[in-house]
Amino acid sequence: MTIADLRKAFQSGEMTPLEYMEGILNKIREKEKEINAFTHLEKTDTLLKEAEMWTEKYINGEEMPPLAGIPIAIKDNIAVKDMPLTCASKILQEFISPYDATAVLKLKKAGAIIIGKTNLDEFAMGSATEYSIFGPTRNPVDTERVPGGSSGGSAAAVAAGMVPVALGSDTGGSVRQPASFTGTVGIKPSYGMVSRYGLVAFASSLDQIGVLARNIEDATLVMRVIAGKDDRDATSVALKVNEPYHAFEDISDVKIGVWKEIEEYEAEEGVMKVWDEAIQKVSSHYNIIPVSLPDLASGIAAYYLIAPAEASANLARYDGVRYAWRVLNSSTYKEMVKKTRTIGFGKEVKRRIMIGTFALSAGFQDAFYKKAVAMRYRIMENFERAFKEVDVILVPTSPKLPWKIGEKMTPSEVYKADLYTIPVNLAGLPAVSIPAGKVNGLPVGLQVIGKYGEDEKVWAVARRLMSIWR
Amino acid sequence: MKYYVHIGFEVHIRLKTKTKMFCSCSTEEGDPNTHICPVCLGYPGALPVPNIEALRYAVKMSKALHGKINDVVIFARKNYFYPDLPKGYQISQHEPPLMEDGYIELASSGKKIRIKRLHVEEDAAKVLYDSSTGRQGENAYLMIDFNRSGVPLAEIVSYPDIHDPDEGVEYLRTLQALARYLGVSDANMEKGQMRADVNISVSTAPDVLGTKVEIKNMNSFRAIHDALQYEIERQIKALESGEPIYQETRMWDEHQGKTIVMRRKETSDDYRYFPEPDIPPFRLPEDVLSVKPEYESVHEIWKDVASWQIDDKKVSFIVYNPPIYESLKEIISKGVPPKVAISLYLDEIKGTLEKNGRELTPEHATWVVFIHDLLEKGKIDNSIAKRIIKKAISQNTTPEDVYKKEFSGPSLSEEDIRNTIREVLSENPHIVEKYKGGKKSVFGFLMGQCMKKFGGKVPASTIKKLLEEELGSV
Repeated sequence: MTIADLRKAFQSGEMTPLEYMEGILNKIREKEKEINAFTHLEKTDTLLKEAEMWTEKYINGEEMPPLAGIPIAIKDNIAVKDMPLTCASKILQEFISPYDATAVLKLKKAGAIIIGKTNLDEFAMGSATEYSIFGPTRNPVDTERVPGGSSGGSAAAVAAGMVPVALGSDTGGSVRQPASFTGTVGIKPSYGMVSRYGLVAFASSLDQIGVLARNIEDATLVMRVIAGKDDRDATSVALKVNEPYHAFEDISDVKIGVWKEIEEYEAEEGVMKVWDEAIQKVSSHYNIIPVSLPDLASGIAAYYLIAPAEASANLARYDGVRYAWRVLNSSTYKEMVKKTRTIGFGKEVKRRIMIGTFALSAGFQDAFYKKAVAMRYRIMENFERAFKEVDVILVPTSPKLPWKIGEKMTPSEVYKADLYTIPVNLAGLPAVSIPAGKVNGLPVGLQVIGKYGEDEKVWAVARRLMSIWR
Repeated sequence: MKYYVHIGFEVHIRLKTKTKMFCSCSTEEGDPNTHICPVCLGYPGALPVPNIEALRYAVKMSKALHGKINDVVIFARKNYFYPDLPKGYQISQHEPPLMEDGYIELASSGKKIRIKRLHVEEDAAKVLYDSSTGRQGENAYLMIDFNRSGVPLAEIVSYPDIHDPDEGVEYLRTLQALARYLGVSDANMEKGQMRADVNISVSTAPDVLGTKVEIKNMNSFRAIHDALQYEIERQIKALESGEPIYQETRMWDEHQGKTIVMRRKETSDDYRYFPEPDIPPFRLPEDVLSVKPEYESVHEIWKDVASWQIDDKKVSFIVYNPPIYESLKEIISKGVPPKVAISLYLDEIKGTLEKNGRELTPEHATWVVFIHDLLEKGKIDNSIAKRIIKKAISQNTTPEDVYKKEFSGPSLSEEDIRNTIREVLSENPHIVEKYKGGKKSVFGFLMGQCMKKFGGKVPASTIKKLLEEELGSV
């Protein structure tokens, strides 16, 4: 059932928003204890009251905003007024946001009901939703396994049916990879399409708010609601999006490309099997054109300098001076800041702050940060050249299947798993991860990557591919 | 041995915008922490959006400093931890700055001081040390007022082209006056709207710079002058006795009248500048790029005022007071000679106002034009002019009003005046006798008697002329 179907049911009286909300709350009661998708849940009374209000409005036959009465979950690094905004970090564990992120404000105006905040890797730094003060989130498909990350809480909540749709954020794949791991749809829009105002910055030039949903229709609908240029975000851009319930674009003559060099950077066996079969199926409908993106693999090195560099500055504000938690009983400002940050940040966050600080230091900036920025431009050029031949490019979402919770991996092994998603962020492009098949019951997602600003086309292609693979 | 002093300044001036540099909070003064928001407090998720008005002011100032404007604005993050810095970095500009390679002509001499750069940045919050708890130094409790956090600043960096404390002060006063003439800043040092850090070095060769010492914490021109004087003497003494001069930051201690070491720099600070990712580089809007400064040289203003042939002290006073200079220009443009304008506007009106605890406003310029017109037409004389001004001020009204009510009346014909004079003469036959007898000194007494009768409504010159005539014919 899509949100559009739900809306019809609400309008016809077949189901009420209140009944739907009750169902959602039951699902949460049933699953949340095991899955641990949420860091905060709105009070049941409040949620029911809101659902009741929408129920009445539907009964009165009022003109309804596009998401009237639809529950939605928000990743806990996006500000929702009067709710905690923890980023799954000890350093923000006591922080309540005094304001709404622009995307959240748009959801509220569209009638959505915010049911709570979802778990993530601390400050969105991770790929498994394991680095969280709230503990790991489990993958509803196989609860022994990770749901991916960092938007693992949002992905798991959607996959478990605890909510139809959720917001995530994607800096290097944090929406798409968990979508792939949980068998859901994850949209990462063009950089600038959605306002970042209220999204806690990890790496400002890469961060985008994205959507996780059970199907491409719902994900597209919510994307269209939250998109738009915002006066509060100087990096936001007015990009083309259709009205919420507008039909998908006609893509009958779309030119589909695949990454030629993937043979050199193959994913693990199971993923490649799904990939090969999926491409096979597409090729009976479309002519598949191999395109060369020779520098894509260097994206990891560039990303793991640029993102920590920006993060090292973005996270400097958590000093314990103005808000949230601090270590008490320090005798000087310096001591207080030092203790607060030492205890307040987790290991992975501190690792990245250190890498970033180093990459920006005098004497090292040219060799590291500036080289990484130059590589970023090369990757952009790679894509530009490729997009002269094709409209979209297909790549697997993750080279790995969801791994077991607690499985030992070195940081660089984890970083390498971002191989296919990172270049998209470096180039600011739109991409969607859609489920393409399963291996031993574990879902595998593939990515559709499009030209900058052609998000609508990417969504339409994703929808078409899903119907081919079904 | 001859010593060569090189002084360079880093001056911050607060740009006079209504709202802050990167958010819409007011820049007005207020109770602590009342003009704050998620952006200027560095809350999680808040983002900066540049204030174009601030850039307009900065471009205007840059043009008046004759520099090259970089029309693509790039902001950068300057990273360091300090309790007054909410984000852990200051949004500033690194390379390139808004303006490079300008110069300013010192007000009186016209000597050119080269300006290295002007860039725009946000101010930090204000920190107060609360020692009431007995905790001192770095253990003291801090109280932070974020009203100032995010207020727009222009930082202006000069080359070390300045060679003595007087010149240093003149440089700052010229810069201050320029900012005020352009209306880009009130540049009041006491209010912290203009802050100056200074770099100074002393060497034994004219073209070689000595070891650079930075001095901070000077809050007035006086303090800057004294600190420079002290530091020059200290460094010369050190050079003479062969003691080392360290590259360091020193603090001016006003009470002790000396500079004290704050920190010694083994290496230069590493601020890890990088381009601000929250504000992509952007081209200045056309209307900002095309802004025209109303003035391009305080030295030209100096020459203009000097041409009025008044003493240097007065020239300096007028030049460094933009509203006064502008009012005088306005008055002079209406045909009032400069000397008369200055005498009425500054000596009479300003002087009287200040005695009454009030301040001169540009509106008072119209007073001068009005009074000068009456003087020209012979309707009043200087002493009446002064009385009108005094009354206008004490009655809180205008000279026009005072004149109409008290000094114009139905104007007296010459015959009326003569009749009154004759009355006075007939009332004082003895005096008239004495005058006729050759005792001309009694004229003053008769004049005084006449003046009293006219109550100031007839100019003294007219009375004198007619009194002489009447005495001649008695």
